[in-house]
Amino acid sequence: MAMATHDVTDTNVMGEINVTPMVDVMLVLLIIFMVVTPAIAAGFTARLPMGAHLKSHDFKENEQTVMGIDGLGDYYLNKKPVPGCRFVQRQSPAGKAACGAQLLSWLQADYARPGHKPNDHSLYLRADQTRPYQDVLDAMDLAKKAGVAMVAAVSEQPPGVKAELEKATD
Amino acid sequence: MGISMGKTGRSEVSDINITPMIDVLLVLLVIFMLAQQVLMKTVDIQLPKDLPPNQQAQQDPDNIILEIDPGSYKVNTKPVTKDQLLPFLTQTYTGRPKKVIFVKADGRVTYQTVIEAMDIARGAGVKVIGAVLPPTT
Repeated sequence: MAMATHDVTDTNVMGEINVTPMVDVMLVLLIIFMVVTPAIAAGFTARLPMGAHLKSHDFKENEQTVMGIDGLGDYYLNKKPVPGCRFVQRQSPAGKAACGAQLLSWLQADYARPGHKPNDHSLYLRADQTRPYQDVLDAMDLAKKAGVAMVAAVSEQPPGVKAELEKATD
Repeated sequence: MGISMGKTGRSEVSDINITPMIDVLLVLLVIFMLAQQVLMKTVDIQLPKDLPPNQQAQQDPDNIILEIDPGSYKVNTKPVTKDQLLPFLTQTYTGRPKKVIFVKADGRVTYQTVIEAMDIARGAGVKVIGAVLPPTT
């Protein structure tokens, strides 16, 4: 008797799909993007300094001003490079003055911008930790001329350090 | 021919695999840990007011000025080693109501060094950090 041997077990079209590993893979991809996106979105790379006693701020990207100093010493304002303010351009007195004027006008424009948080004349500073302090001093000097009263130096907390994260009150 | 089309031997409810659930849980945990880093964490530095910068800090003899030069730290002109900085500052600020420090750092010092010193000051109880800017040339 020729009977078509017909194993019922292996003609099941598909076993039940395991959702759990799919969710797992999706979450891992999410983590990967969460880690990679800030590096891409930053516009410039700066290795921030480390600190254990930091204050946390509510930061609204379009309402506040962020100044950047990257590893080469070039100045950025709100992620855009400030014209004339590359490190090499700032080394001559004339270049430094030109950069100063440019940065000052950009700062003043940004604080006066309607979308900017009113009366918030604080400047967030994302500066590379390996830069000589002189770069920061020059920036603070110009900031002061633009009416900045407080520079919030953005820093990283080393992992595993238990620190009191004071919430900024103003 | 009666072909019994009974159910296959699989029972309706299979044993739930705990391992993938723990896996997903751990991954969610990592995600939340990463999400916390988006907060801006800063060392707040006050810029001097319109008085000539050097004079403002020195006007009040009660003010504490931390000077940072390449390789050396001085608190009100008294040399302090980096290891002594935290205990010395903690001692200075205990019982002192005005938790303010003025930091004057040389331009050649690394930015990290300055922030680290300010951070140590915060650990010693300082609430307000003021930057001393060199006189504008």
